Amino acid sequence: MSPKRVILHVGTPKTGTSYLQDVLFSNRDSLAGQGVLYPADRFDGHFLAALDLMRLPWGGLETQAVGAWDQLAEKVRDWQGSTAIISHEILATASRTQIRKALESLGHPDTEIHVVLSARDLVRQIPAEWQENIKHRRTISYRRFLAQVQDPDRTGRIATWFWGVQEIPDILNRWGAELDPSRVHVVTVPKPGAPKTLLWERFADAFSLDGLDLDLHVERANPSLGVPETALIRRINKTSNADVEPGAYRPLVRELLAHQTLSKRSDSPRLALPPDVWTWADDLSHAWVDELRERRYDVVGDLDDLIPDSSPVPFSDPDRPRHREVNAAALEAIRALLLEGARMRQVETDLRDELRETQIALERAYLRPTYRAREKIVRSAEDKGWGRRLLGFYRRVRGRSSRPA
Amino acid sequence: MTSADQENPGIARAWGWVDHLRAGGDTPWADFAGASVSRGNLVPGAIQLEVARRLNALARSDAFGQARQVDSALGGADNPGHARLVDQILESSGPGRGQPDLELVGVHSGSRFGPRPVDPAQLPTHELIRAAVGLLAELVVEHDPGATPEPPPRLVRPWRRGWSLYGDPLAVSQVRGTLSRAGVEPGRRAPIAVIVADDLAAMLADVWSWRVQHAVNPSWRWWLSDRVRRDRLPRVVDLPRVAANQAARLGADRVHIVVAQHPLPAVARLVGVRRPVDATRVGLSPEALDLVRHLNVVLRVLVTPERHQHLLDSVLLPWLADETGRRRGVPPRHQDWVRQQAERMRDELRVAGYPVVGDLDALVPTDRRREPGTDETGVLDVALRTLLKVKEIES
Repeated sequence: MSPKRVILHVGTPKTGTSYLQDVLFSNRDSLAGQGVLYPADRFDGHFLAALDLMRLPWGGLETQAVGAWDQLAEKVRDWQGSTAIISHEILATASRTQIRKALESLGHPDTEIHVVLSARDLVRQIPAEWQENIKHRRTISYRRFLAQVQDPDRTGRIATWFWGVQEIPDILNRWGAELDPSRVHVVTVPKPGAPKTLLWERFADAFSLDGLDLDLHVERANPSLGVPETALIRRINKTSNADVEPGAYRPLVRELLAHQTLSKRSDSPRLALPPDVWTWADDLSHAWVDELRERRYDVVGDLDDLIPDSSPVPFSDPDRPRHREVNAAALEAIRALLLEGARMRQVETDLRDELRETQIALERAYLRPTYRAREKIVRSAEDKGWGRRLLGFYRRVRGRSSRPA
Repeated sequence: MTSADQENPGIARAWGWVDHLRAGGDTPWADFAGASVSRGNLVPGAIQLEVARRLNALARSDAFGQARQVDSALGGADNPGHARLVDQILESSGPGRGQPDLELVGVHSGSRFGPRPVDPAQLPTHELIRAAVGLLAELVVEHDPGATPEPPPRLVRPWRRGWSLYGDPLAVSQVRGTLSRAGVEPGRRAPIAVIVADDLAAMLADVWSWRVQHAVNPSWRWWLSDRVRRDRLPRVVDLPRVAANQAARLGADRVHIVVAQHPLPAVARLVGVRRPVDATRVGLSPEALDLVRHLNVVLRVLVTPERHQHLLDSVLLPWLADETGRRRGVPPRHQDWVRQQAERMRDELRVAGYPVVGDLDALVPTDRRREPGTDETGVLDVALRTLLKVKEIES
C-alpha cells in the first residue's frame, strides 16, 4: 500500500529549505495525525538518505547514511495516509540513473509523485554558494570562485557542484523527465522586501499544508554572513585547516563562529556580485525564465522573482575587505571562543570533581574487610603453581579475564 | 531508420555506438559512423560509454587477452556476460562529486541547458575512474560471500617457544599468516618479541598501504606530509619505543630486531621452525592501492565499517591479488626527515643492545631516487582489469 501522493522537494540550496525542513520535522507527529508523513527520526534524516542515494561522501557523515534511502523509501511505500513528503536540497544534483532509482523506489509510476523545486534569483544564489563553500572549510577567493562558475566548460569541482544544484532548467529536465509537467512545481523565493511569511505561504501551497495545524516557531536556520565575516572565516580556514580536524571545525567554526556569532553582525556590507558578473547572471536568469515559461510547470509564486532586481546591492569585494571591519569581526570571534573555552574549562573542572568523588568511593569499597580478605587469598594463590592453575580455571569458567591489563 | 531518426541522425548514431560497445567494439566516438534505431533521447552518459569502450579495448589488448579468442571473449550474442557487464556500466552513476551525466558531442537531445556535450575521448581520466569505481563497489557488495566460518581453536603446544611479532604491519601480517598456514603457532616456553623492520622509507610505505587496506584512505602524499608536519612516526614503526615496551615485559635479551626486506626466513628460525618457508613478499602496486582508496570512499557509504573490512578482506583484496608492484617512494622534500628519523632509531636501538638479525644501518634509506607518482591511466586499467575478472568469475 502506498500513499496517495508523494511530494519530493529536491532543492535548491539557500531557498529557505532549512526552515521548511525544521517545521516539517518538529511537526512530524502532528502531521502524521493529519495524514501527512514526514519520515525522519532525526532532523538530517533526509540529508543522509540523499547521501546514500547519490553515494556521496560528506566529511565522514556518510557512514551514518548506509541504507538510509531504502529505509526512507520503505516508510513512504508503507504509509497509508494521503501524502508523504521528502525534502533535501542536495537531491538537486542527482543523476538521471539515481533519479530513476529514487522514483521507482517510491512507487513510480503507480504512485502519484510530485517534484517541487524552490528557486531564488541567481544574483543572490552565487554569493550564497561561495559563502557555503567557505563555511565548509574551502579557501578559494571570491574572484576565482566566480571565474570557475562562469567557465563554460564547468570542469572544476566547484562549477560541477554549483550548476548541479543551481541550474534550474537542467535540474527540472532531470527530475521532471518522467513526470507530467503539472506534477512539477516551481516555488519562487520572493524578492527582498516581501512579507516574511510569503515564502512559507508558498511552501504551504506547494506541499498542500494549508489549513493544517502546525507550529511554525522553530529555531533552525542557515543564516548568512556579511563581507568581512566571510573574509574572516576564509582566513581562519587558510591558517588552521591543516590543524583543525573536521569533527572540531563543524561545532567551533561553522556553528559557533559563523552561525551563532558572526551572522548576528547585520550592519556589515552584504555579499553581492561585481557589475560584470551581475550583467552575465541577469542575462542567464532571463534565459531560464523564458525556458521555464515554455515548459508549463506549476509555478507557485511568480517567475519574475527569478529576475534580479534592477537596483543591485553595492559590490564590496570580499577578497579585499576593509581591515577595520574584519578586525571588529575577529574580536567578536575571539570573544566567542574565549567564552566557549571558559565553558569547556568549567565542564572539565566538574568532570574532574566527579572523577575524584568516584575514586574516593572506589577506595572506600576497597577498604572493606571482605575485599581485603579476597585480595589476600588471590595474592597468596598467585605465588604457587597450583594456585595459578586454580585461578586460571576460575577465570576461564567466569568467562572473562579479571587480570590487570 | 525511422523518420524520427532521420530528423535527428545524431541520436541514431549514439544508439548505434551503444550497440557497438555492447557487442565488444572499441571504436572511438569520433570515428564511429554506424547507426541504430533510436530508443529515445536519453542516451547513456558519455563517461559511462567511454568506460565501456576502454574496457573493450583493454579486453582486446595483449595485456589482458593473451591466448584468448578475442571475439568470443567480448560481446555479442555469443557472450551475454560481456554485454551484461557493459550494460551495468552504462546504467551506473558515478558516485560522489564529479561531472554529471554528459551528452555526446554531435547529439542534440533538445535542451539548451546543462553541461556542454563532450567528445568522450577527451574526458579526464579521473572521471572515468569514478564511474568504474562506482560499479566496482556495487559488485564488491554483491559478491559478499557472507560470514567467514570461525577458524578452529588453535592447538597450543606449551613446550614450543612463545613469540609475538611487532614492527612493519604489512610484513608482520604476511609473516604471521604464512607461519599460521604452515601450522606454526606460538607456544608458552621462553617467550620472545620479534620486531620486523626494513628501511624506514619502505616501512612508512607499508604502514600507509596497510591502512589503505583497512579502510583508511588518505593519499600517500597527504599522509606522509602530515607525519612530517607533526614530526612523529607512526607508533608501530617507532621501533625504539616498541622495543622498549616489549623489553619492559620480557627483558631486553628477549627482544629481537630482524632487519630484512624479506624477513620470513629469519623470523622462522627465531621461533624455532627448521623447515624452509616461502620467503617471497609482494605488495599491491601503487595503482592498485589508489584504486582501493577510491573504493574505500564509496564503500563507506554503502556498508557498515565492520562489513567494509570484511568485504576488503574477502572480496576486493583477493580480486587484486595479481596487481602487485613496487612500494610508494618518499618524495624528495621529505627524504631528509625520513633519514633523520631512521638514524635516530638506528642509534637508539644500537645503544639499547637488543639482539639483531641483519644490519641496523639498513634502517636508513639509501635510495634517493625520485619515485614517479601513480599514473591515473594505470589506476583506470586496474579498475577495468578487475571488472573483467569479475565477469570471468560470474560466467
